[in-house]
Amino acid sequence: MIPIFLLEDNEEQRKKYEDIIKNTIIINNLSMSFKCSTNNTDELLAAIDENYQGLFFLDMEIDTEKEAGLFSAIKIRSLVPMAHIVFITTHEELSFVTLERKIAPLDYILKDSGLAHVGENIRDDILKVEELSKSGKYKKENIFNYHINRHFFSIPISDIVFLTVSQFNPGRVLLHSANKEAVFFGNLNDLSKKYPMLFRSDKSFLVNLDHLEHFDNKSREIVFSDGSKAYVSIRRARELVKLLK
Amino acid sequence: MIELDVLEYCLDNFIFVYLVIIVTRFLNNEFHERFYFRDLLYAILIGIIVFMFDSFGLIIWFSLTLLYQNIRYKKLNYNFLNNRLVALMVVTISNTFSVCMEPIVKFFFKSIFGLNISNSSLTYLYIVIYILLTIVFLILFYKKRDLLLFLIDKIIKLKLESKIFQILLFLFASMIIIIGLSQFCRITYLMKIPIIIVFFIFIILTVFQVIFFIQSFSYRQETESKMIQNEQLTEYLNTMEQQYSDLRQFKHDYKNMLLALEGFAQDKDHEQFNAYYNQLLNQEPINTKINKLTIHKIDFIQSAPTRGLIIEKFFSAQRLGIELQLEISDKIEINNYDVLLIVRILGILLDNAIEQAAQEKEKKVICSFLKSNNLTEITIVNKASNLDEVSTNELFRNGYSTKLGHQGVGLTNVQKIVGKNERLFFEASLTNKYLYMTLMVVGEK
Repeated sequence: MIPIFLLEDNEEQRKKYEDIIKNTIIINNLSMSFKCSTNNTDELLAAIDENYQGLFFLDMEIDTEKEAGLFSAIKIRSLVPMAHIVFITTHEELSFVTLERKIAPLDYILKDSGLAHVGENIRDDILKVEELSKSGKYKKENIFNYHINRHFFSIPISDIVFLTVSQFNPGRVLLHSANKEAVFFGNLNDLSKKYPMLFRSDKSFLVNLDHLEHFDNKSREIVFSDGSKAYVSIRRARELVKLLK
Repeated sequence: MIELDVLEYCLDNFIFVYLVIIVTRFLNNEFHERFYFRDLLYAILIGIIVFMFDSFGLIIWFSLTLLYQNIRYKKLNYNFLNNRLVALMVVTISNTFSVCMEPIVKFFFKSIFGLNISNSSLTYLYIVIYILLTIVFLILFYKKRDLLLFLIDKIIKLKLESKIFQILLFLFASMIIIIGLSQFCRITYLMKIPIIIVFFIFIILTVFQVIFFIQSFSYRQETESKMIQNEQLTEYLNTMEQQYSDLRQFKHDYKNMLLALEGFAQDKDHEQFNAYYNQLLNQEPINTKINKLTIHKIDFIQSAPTRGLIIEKFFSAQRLGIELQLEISDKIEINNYDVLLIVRILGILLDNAIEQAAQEKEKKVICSFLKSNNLTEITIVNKASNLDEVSTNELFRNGYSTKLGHQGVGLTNVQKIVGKNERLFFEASLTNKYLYMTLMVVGEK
C-alpha cells in the first residue's frame, strides 16, 4: 500500500483535494491508502511511518511561511528518499531550478489554472505513481547511487544506458542515461561488483543491455536506442552473443 | 683546455643533450617510464649532430625543433619551447661552470694529494661535475616549484608566452655566441670566468625583469577588467533609475485612474466602471513581475568576477529580448583559486543558453546558485524544444551543436576544463524539454 499525504493550509481547498484523492483510489481500485491530510508540517512529518515509498502533495506556502513546502520536502526526501513529491502552488511562489535540483519533484500543479486543472493533475499523478510502483523502477534494489563529496545522487538503474571511464579524467566515471549525463569519482571494477545487472563489455564500459538496439559482432560495437555507442572486448563479445541468443 | 678524444666528446655531448631533455621534461611536468628510453635514443642522435657543429650545434638543434613543430603542428608550442630554452641554458651554465672548475680541481688535487690527474679522468670528472650541477639546479627548481608554477600559470593566463619566448631566445643566442667566441679565440680562464659571472648576473637580472614585467602586465589587465565592470555597473544603475522613474510615473497615473474609478462608482455606472477597471488591470506594470526587471538578489553572489559575468550576460540577454533570471537563496562564496575558471565555464554555458533561448518561444534563461553539504551547484536552464533523446545524446557525446556552430565546441571545452580540475564536476540533463547544465564546485576539505 502506497501511503498518500496532503499538506494544504486552505481548508476549503484541502477538502476538495481530499475528495479527489479518495475518489481516485476507489474508482481505480488502487493499492493506496490516504494516510494524512493536514495544514501543519510537523503533523505531516509525524505521520510518516515507512521509509521506502509515499506520495506527497504539498502546498508551497503554509500560513505566512513562504517556503514551508520546500522545507518539508527536504525533510521528506531525507526520511523517504524515493518518495514522490508533487507541489501544488501558485506560479509566483515557484523557484523552479532550486526545486528541481533539491527535490526533483514528480510534478508541479499550478493553482492559477483553476480547480478543475488541479483535480485532473492530482488524478494523473496518482495513476503515474501506481504505474511506477508496479514497474519496480524506484525499489531500493533498482536504484543506482553515486556521490560527489557528501552529496548523494540516485537514479533508477533502468534509466542508465552505460557507465564509462571519463575521457578527460581517468579517475572519474561518466554516467550516461537517456536524458542525463553526470560525472563522479569511482571505478568500474567496484561498480560492476556492486551492480551485477550491468554488463561489463570492456575494460572501460559497463552497459545496461536493456537499452541495446543492436550489436555488431564485426566491429564489436553496441549501439543503444538513443544512438550512443559502447565497445566490447573480444573476450566479452562471445559472452554477449550467448546472452543475446 | 681540455682535449677530448672522439669517444669522450660524443659521450659529453650525449650526456649534455640527455640532461637538457630531462630538465625539459621536469619543467613540463611530464614523467613516464616510456619516455626515458625514447629520450635516450633521441639524445644519442642529437648528440652526434651537436658534435659535428660544436656549440653552434645547440642552435641548430633548437632550430630543428622549431622547424619540426612548424611542419608537424603548423604552430609553435611556446610553453614547450620556453621550457626547452630554460633547460638548455641551465645545462649550458652548469657545463661552463664545470669547465672553469677544471683548473681549480686540478690544482686542488696536485697541491693536497700530490696527484697528477690524467687528461681522460679529468674529462670524466668534468662530466660528473656538470651532471651534479644540473641536479643542484633541478633541486632548486623543485624547492621553488610553487613560484615556478605560479609564474608559468600567470604567463599562460596573460598570454605572454611568445614575448617570454623572445626574451629567452635572445638570452640563449647571446650565451651561445659568447661561449662560441671564447672557444674560438681560445680566451684564457682568467678572462672566461669574469665573462661567465657577468653573464650569470645578467640572466638573474633578466629573470627579475620578467617577473616585474608579468606583474605590471597583470595589473594592467586587472584595471581594464575593473573598468569594464564599472561600465556595466553604471549601465545597471541607469536601468534601475529608468525603472524607478517609470514606476513613479505609473504611480502618478494610477492615482488619477483610481480617482476616475471612484467617480464611476459614485455615479453607479457599472458598464463604465467595468470597462475602466479592465483597462486598469491590463496596465503593463501590474503584469510585470518586479524581479523581471532587475537582477534580483545579485548581491548574494560574493565573488566579484562571477557577479560581473552575470550582470554582463543579463544585459546581453536583455538586448536579445531574453530574460535572465537568478535563483539564489543563500550567500554564495566562490573560492578564489578556481574562480576565473568557473567564470569561463559559466560564460560558455550562459552564452549557449541565451543563444538557444533566442530561438524558443519561452525567452527565458534561469541561472540558479545552490549550496549544500560543502557543494555549490550552479545550474543554467533553458527551454530546448528541438532536443529529443537522440540529439541529446549527440549533444553530450560529440558536443554537437543545437543549430549554431560553436555551441558544441564550447561544451566539449567545458567538459575538458572540468575533467582536469579536481574540484569541479559537470552534469547535463534534459527534463520536460528543459536543458539543465550544472556545474558543481566541491568545497575545500
